[in-house]
Amino acid sequence: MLACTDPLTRNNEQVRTRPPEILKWVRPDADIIEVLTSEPTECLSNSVQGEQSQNIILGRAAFRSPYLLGGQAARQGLSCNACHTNGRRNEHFYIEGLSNNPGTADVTNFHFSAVLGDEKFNPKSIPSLVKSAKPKTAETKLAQEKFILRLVEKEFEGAAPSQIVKDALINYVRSLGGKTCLQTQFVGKDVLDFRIKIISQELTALHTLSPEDTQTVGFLRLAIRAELGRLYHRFPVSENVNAKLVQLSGMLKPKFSVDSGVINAEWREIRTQMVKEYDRSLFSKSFATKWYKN
Amino acid sequence: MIQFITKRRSSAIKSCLSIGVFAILSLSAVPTFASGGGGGGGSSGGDSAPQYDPVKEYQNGINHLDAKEYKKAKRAFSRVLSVARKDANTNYLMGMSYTGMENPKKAARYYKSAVKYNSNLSAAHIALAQSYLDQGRADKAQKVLSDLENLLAKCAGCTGQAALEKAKTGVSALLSGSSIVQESSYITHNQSHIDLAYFESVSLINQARYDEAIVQLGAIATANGPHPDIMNYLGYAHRKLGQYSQAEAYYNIALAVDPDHKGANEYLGELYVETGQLEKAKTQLARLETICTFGCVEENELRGWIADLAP
Repeated sequence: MLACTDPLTRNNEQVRTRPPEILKWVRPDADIIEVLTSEPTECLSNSVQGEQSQNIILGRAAFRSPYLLGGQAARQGLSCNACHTNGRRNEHFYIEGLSNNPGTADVTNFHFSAVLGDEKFNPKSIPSLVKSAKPKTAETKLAQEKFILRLVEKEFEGAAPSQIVKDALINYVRSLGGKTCLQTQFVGKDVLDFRIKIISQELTALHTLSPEDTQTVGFLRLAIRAELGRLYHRFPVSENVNAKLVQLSGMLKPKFSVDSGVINAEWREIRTQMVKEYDRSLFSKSFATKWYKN
Repeated sequence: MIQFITKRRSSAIKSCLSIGVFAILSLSAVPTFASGGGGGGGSSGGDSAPQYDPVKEYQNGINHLDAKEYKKAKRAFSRVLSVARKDANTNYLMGMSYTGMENPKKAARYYKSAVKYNSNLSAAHIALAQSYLDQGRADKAQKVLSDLENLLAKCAGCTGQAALEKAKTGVSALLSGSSIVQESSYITHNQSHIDLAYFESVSLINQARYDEAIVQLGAIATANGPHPDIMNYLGYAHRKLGQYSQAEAYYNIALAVDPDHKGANEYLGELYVETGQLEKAKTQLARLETICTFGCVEENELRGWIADLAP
């Protein structure tokens, strides 16, 4: 909503904020408490579980970053993850004009693409990538790669990603799924813990990238900052957490050169603080209920 | 579609106000573009928002007009204008408020502003001529007609040709002393329909159908007031047609309503790049760097535009 009609501006003790981004893509009658406090688990195949490769982490960052896409999608903050939450189906996803039911999207709509748009309103059910992510032959692998790049570049008007980001994205998508993965949900604190894990891994990956690879470094910095922003809107009354998130985001601005030790120390402090403040975050069902239903 | 008759008496116009306004009223309050529909480049929720919510005040003004509470309507529209002085629709409705208060002189002032800021607002041309006639200034009413003829002469095939021709027909009829039937552009829709119309407008822009997008966005703006997402895309569509001064005016309205509007800040910066005003573009980029605490696509895009210009 607009700044001047922000429904969350309440009283002096509460930080002025916007609703978390995820609420932009749900129907007005959606159960927003459920949307905020639970999400499907990420399910990586056995071969990459445990110690995840930097490549998979970069791929996940791309998957979750609006900067991979272009045009309207990117401006609305959409990413692959917006529809395929943690590689699965976002059953709440809904945009007026693009969806007919929650969990559907018309991917051939002129709203996002002048290239692939058609004149028909033909939303399809958003698939989970977990079941279809593992092509076995060279032919199917190539077909999958082409399909993913077509989505990024044609459907969502993104610029062609660098070779490193492209490979990482495809590897990440292929790593989704696995026989031992059960369809389970992250709920409440698990969601926060998962977000913390993502950023921790991304920061580690950032520090291992070659500084000469400015394109990938820049891309990952943007992805991390976007991730920090998503956390910011989950702590509407925790000024200390928010101030630190802003500070860390500032350290990751383009052309800013901050020692990785400083960044890591700052992040450790934020993590600790966020865990402490969980009960006052929009990851907590009781707080979210109080926040939205009061 | 609403039809109403305008006669050469202000009282006749007054009786029509409520009909025209009724049509607007059935639109619900603030569109939900940024939250549900098109997005529009994003509003920031920053602390630099103006004192009044112009979109809400616009709706309040319409409610008061419909109830024939002209002084209250005037107050509401003056609040909108305190934020978005150059919004043509609000100037027009402010004029209607003064017409309702039987003050054609002041009404004319606002109608004049309305046609200055949007020469395609046919109803405002007609109302302007009417208000001059109500003051006994047939010469000025005649000038409205000649101004329209000049505009039309410059506008063969332009976006607003149909609107200008409609205005010319209306003013000519007024000057000849006959009653005219004026079709209101206010169409009754529910909120979901408005969101959808906005969504479709953005789709038109993506297909480079800028003229059609301008017409559709203009209709939404008439109904809803100066919503920054709408103003931003009106600016964008005009810019893509090379109409830089109109584009800049729309971006500036968007930014007057929401100074932290990311899309308008970016697109204004791009306009400056296109028109060779690099320093101003850099100022817009600096503004986005401040607004986008966690980075944003708009900042990134504008940075790319500026970098492309670098030697």
